[in-house]
Amino acid sequence: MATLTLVEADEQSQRLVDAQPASDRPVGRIDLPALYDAHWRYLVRFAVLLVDDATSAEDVVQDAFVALHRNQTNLRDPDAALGYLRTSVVNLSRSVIRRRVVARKHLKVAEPEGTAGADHDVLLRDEHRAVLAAVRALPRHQREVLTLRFWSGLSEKEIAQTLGIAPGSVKSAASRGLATLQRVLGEQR
Amino acid sequence: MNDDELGRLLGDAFDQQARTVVGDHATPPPPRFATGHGELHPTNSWRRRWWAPVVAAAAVVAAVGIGAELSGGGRQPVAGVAPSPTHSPLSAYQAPAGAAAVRTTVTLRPTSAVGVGLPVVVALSRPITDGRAWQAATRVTVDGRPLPAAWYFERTGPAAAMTAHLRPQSYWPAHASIRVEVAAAGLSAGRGLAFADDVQVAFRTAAARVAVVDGDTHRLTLAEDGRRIGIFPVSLGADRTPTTQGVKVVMAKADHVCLTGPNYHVCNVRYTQRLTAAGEYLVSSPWSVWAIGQMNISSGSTDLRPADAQQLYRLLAVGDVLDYRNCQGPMTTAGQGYGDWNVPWAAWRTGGLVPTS
Repeated sequence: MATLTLVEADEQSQRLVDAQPASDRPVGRIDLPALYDAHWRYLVRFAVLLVDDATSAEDVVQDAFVALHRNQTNLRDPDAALGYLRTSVVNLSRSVIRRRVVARKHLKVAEPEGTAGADHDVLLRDEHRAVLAAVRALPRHQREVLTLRFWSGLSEKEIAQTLGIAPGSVKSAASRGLATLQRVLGEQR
Repeated sequence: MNDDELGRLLGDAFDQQARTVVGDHATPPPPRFATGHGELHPTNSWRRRWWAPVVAAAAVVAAVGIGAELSGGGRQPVAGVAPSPTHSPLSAYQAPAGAAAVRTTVTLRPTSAVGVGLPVVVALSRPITDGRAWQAATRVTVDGRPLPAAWYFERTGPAAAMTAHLRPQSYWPAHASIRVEVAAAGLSAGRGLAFADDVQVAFRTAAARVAVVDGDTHRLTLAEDGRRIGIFPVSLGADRTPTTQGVKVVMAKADHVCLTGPNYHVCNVRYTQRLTAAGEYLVSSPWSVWAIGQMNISSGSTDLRPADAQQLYRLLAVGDVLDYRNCQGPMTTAGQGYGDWNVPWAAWRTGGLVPTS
């Protein structure tokens, strides 16, 4: 053991037996059920922010895990697995939105205004509702960047890796998105 | 509104929307990737196939058959982790009359929600030589669904002859209600030894708070349910007193304590959170602010700026996880508080000091 010297004054030092030398971290195949339990909630929330409704978000996350399940022989590091899942969620969310646009074009009946998630918005505070509405009007990649930056808390480099774009593009998308939001929210005051 | 304020507003708005749709207590449905019922396919591809309606109809029929199984289990146990079917029934472990009694005490009975890294710890009144009956008598459920978990027997301080720690393969599920039952009374603990008590523990887990502490970048990065909520500069152990590597768990929190070592005795140290039995802490360290975020100069603890230490003291609960990387010290071992997560699962399941399978 290292000589760790912070010990509470009043506490008798404990005799400790090193039960098992554990210098190696678990390696080998990634533990998919454990990943699923650990990240399901986070990923569905992330997907909701991209596609706006819970059903599509859950589908997207299930499909992302199915894709990982097929590719897991190529992935050993659980951290890399989360990055892979995040990227899958972005890509699958784009397909959902694309399908939604196509479906809308062919729809004969009139559709109420607003996105699928709008019914949840009644539970939100006014300022949050306003900013979310403005975000939904942004170009797709600006919305993705802002979500990854301000909700997931990723760095520019990590966002670039997730979206498969250059860090410079992340920076410009973020600043353009923020500028648009400033303008739109400013006009509403 | 400047961009920082707008960023915070965005973060809050996103979080509101996400939490409104997926609450903290939302539980994952059974995963669609196969865990024992054959290969399933992604929704989008199988919906497009011509035979999809036929499969759907067949699935309804099949669901009636496996319905009972699914409603009981939710998720199927992971292959290789599930209790092996070759386990003898509990009756095989009955201790003969006249065996010496081994008393068991649960050392921690949490009253509020705990972090996802807290193992269940049981103290034994005397050393045992066989843990197989104890393991076989253990049932763990998470929100009513069974979860594979294994005991690991360790010899720790003078308070107990032996302790047993229980953990699943990876951290407990967050926002969950966990029940542990060990129906061990009367079962054998080795030749001439019998367990005297049954054990029942129930607790709730809080959000999954996991911090990564990097000795190279001098940063502590805290995530809650996967979302990054803060980055704090730190100073870790100096070269001669390196901080240990690996996963540690908040053991206890205390404001205003005295800390003593070979060359110092400081009192009124604030916002301390204990991480190892040997004495590594998260501490408010006004004396080393100049080094925090720059270089590692502490005597093993994680030095934080006073304001950061206060904030982390508020954010973290007992059982929350800190993963130390790029540190110069050896791996934190299972005997060091709750260093249990550094033992590989395959080694963990063998039971430590006594066999459990």
